[in-house]
Amino acid sequence: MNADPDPIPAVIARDLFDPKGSPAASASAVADVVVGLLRSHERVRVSFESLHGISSAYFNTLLLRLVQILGPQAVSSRIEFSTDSRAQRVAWDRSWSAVVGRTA
Amino acid sequence: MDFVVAAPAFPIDVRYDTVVELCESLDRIWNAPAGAAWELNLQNCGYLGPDAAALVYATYLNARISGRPGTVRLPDKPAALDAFNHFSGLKHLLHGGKRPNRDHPDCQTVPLNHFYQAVGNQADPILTLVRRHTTLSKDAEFYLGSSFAEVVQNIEDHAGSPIGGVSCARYFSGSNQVRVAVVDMGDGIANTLSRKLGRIDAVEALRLVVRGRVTSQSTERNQGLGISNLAGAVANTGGELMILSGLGAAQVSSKAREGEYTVLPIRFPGTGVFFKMNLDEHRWT
Repeated sequence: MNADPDPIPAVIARDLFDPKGSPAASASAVADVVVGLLRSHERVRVSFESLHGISSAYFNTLLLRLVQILGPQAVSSRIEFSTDSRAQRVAWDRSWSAVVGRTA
Repeated sequence: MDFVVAAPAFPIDVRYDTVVELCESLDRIWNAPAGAAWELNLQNCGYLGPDAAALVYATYLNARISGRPGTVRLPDKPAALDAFNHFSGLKHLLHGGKRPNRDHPDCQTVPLNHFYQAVGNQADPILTLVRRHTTLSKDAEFYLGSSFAEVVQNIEDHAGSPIGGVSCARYFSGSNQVRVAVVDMGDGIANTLSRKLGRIDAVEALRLVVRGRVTSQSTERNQGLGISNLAGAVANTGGELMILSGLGAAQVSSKAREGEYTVLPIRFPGTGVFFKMNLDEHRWT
């Protein structure tokens, strides 16, 4: 059996979340890891599992940084984002619309 | 002592009229001249909740740093109110003595927290307290944690508050509700928005931020979603949100999702955000 030549790597945002630091800095850290992985992979997954105490500024910062570096088209087509609740999804969608929707 | 302010002799609850009446009492302290010494007498209050605790402590801190130090007389009866004064941290912060133990099994209060910046785990004490008493769904966890984080982030990004912010929260086991209060003594929402939009009155400013997508864009990450997300979360849980800022007040609930707006009888010196959420999903709308 052949191994998948390019498995999609997953970034768990919770693992990069600094509980004692700025949430915006944690969001930037996720963006930087994603951008690094996209240098060697066509696609990347980002999971927001178990992130509860985050404001829209967290999602906005992540998306702004990704759009700034990759452009809105690549953010839409090369990154899969997964949320862990309906409430989180609504907040994510609103940030997406404000940041990516505006620039796409 | 230059003057004594007596707080209203009725329970100060999350309801608009009781909180505004407390603010009318605090207004004399907010507007006291430099060097004035004051006393706030809360001894006739039959009940104080997290909203009153945050308002009183923010007032106390702001007066102290602006050269108008004062004292607060807390009620010691009934016993439940005395316990709240202990668990909320009011007793410790205003009169010294023992710190509240938030891990005590009887504790249903997250003590007063004084902060200047948003940090990752700021909502954890509220979530931890609630989880100790009830089961939280993922949706409820996100609504509660993110709503608190939105207010804290706004204070860091926009308020310019000399005291930063003060928060307090309480879980109510009977109703399975949580109530949260966050108060700053900063510029107020209208003044902040005016930097970007030009002169705007307090009520219109509140209407715009509840609707969303309007921001002073103090930083690039501000997209005008914070208060709007908060209002949506509170309404979805069948809860209530009250915001006092400058001369304006907004109230949002599941029955008034677009908000109801009022001109305050006093000028609130900053912004106070008070909300309650139902944690039982069957009561959500």
